[in-house]
Amino acid sequence: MSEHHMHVHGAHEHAVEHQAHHGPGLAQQVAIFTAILSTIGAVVAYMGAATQNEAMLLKNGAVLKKAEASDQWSFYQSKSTKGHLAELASRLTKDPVQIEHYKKEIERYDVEKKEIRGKAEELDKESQKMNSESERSLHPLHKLEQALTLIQIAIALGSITALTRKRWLFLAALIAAAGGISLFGFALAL
Amino acid sequence: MKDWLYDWGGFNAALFQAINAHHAGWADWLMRALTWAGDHDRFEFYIGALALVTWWQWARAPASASSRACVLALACFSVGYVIDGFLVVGLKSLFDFPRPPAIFSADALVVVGTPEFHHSFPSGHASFATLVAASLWPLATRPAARAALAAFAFGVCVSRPYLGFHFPADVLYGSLKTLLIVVAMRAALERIPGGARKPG
Repeated sequence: MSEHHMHVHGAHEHAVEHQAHHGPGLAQQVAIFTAILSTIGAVVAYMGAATQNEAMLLKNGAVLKKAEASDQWSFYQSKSTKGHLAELASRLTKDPVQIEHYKKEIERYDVEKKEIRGKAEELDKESQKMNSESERSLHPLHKLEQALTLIQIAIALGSITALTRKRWLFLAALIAAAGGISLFGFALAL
Repeated sequence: MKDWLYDWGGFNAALFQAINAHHAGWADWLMRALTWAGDHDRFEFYIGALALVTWWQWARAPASASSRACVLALACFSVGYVIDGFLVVGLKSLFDFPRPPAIFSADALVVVGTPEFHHSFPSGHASFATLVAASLWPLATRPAARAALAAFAFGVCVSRPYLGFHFPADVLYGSLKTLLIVVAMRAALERIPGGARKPG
């Protein structure tokens, strides 16, 4: 009796053979796509958090400089008041020695006021500069948030593709991913 | 309405104070770690790890029941994250319930971290931790793995009132809402005709 062996393929063997002939399946492609996108997403999320922290630090710096400037302006105000009082005193007295003394005091206050004013204006400028830098550093944040949302949508669409095996859905996921990555690029360019 | 559904006749605040009252160095560290792990900012790490497991599973045993389960978990987690994320943001803006530091005086509670005052309901951390645990639940076939997932979700939920950021009602409703979403979504995804079917 001749022996005819008939080999029946199971689902697992069929799938392995199918994969051997056609390369990695859609589920694996989606898994790799998801892993890559999640890595990009993690970088985008990190950049978003770093941007926010940087903006907050600059804002804090601006507030501190403004407070220092305010202190200097108060100091300036006190010197100015003292100068006015010295001027009033010099007019009220008739003693030439006293008048000379007050005149010197007024001159001293004027010199000090000039120095203090310079410091206060410098601090004000630094505060304004830090405030503008803080606002400018926040510009990419909106784009980074949009990029992250699109990447997350792309991941969701990709995973549905693995279930449905609808290629057009994977195309939609690719478009969303491309949008997200482009927005990330724009954010970096800002 | 809010008195009964949210305040639970004062029990919500009392339970918060009971959880928040007792602090220890090791417990603070553990609760902060749980809050960190349950932050939705960790989504990319979890989904990336799950994607790698799915890829490895399909390379090892394509079209097997466990490969299918991985794809379902991946879909459930990623779609659930998008749906739940929009829902949490919407509910927070809609209700805008005050957080514990806005209700209690500074000496009546302990806040570990920077105090927050708005958008208490629902808890985003509780929602995300429940999403992680419920999405991965079908993959955890061993009792120890299921216990670990349940402990993770429960731990994150407890960490929020412990650290002074949420009332128990915020975490309970946040968690239940996400659980319902995952169950409904899983039922819907399993009915999708086509790919990732059980091998015949």
